[in-house]
Amino acid sequence: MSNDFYTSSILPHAGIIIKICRAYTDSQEDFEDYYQEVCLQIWKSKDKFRGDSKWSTWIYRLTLNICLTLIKKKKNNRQHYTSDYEVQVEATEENRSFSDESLNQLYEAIKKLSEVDRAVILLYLEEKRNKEIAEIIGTSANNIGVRINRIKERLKTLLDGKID
Amino acid sequence: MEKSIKTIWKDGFLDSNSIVVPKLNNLYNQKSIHIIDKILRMGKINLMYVGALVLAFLLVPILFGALNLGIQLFLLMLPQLLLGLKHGKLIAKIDKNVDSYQYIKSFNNHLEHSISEFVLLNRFFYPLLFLVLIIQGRFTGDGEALISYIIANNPDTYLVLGVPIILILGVVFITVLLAVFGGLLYKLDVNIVYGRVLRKLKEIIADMEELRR
Repeated sequence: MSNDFYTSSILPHAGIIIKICRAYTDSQEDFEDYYQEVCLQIWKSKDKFRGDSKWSTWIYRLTLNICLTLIKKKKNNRQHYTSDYEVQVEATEENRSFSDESLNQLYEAIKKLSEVDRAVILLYLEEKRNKEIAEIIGTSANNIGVRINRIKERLKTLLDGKID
Repeated sequence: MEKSIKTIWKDGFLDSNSIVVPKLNNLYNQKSIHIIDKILRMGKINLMYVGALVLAFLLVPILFGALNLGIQLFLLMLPQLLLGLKHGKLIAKIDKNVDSYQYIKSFNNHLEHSISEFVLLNRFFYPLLFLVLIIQGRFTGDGEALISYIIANNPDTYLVLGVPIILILGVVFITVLLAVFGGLLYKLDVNIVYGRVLRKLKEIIADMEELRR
């Protein structure tokens, strides 16, 4: 991977890649592995980008797909059968990745959502419009609206009423 | 004061320390470790299987009263086990105190060397196995019956040590074929068992080489 490609095409989107990878990993080591894997796959798949969507949208989709694939692989490797809707994450010190405590708590709550709900809320928090989220997730915009409301309610419960 | 999740998100990421981009210098480290571990695990299982087969080749014929056949098959199989053990030890000696690219390259080179030695061994193994079985079969009732049948149908056939020449030529032909294709049979076997991981190993090396450019 050339430095130019990394600097010009991946680095400007590193923020969202990091935010997504954080939401699907429980340790710094896993997070770095996921981040590196995403960067590699973007580099390897760059020729498949046909310009049907924005480069950033394509990167979000790729990042989510890779994280979901890696999380499935990890589950299979550990033969760890947990419900898709209730992935329990221990709140260890290692999980506290950010200096802002509210952000850490929010991340811990997001990690308790299903894998798809995590993707939806991350994109919502990144100010993506329902249409774009729907395009990335592969569902309808109406569905996304309903889903976001449900997720927000769930997060409110998980954060024990600390949020609006 | 209660905050919305969007506010928590925005405020949290306002701090530049929240987004620390990981360094990319360890690319493929984990992948290399995983693939090599997998191949080593598969190699160990395969070696245990060969060990069990060596014992079976010795004991099963003995149980059926064929001591000679048991010993011959045991001696034939033994080099497979010894060669496997030798390469297992050599792979364990590969220097791990180098970067992942050098390690994976050394591992791959050693694997290719190991496969080439097994190919050579199997060029002898398959024809010898065939000959052992044929020679043992020659002195069984079925072997005698086959020879009698050929002689009865070809009374003018030329005999060598009481065996029709056509049968000897057939055995020689198959032995030569097995000597020529023994290596290929081994490669086919390797491809069935290890094909997927070996292809993955090659892909990783190719990617690492591209990254180093």
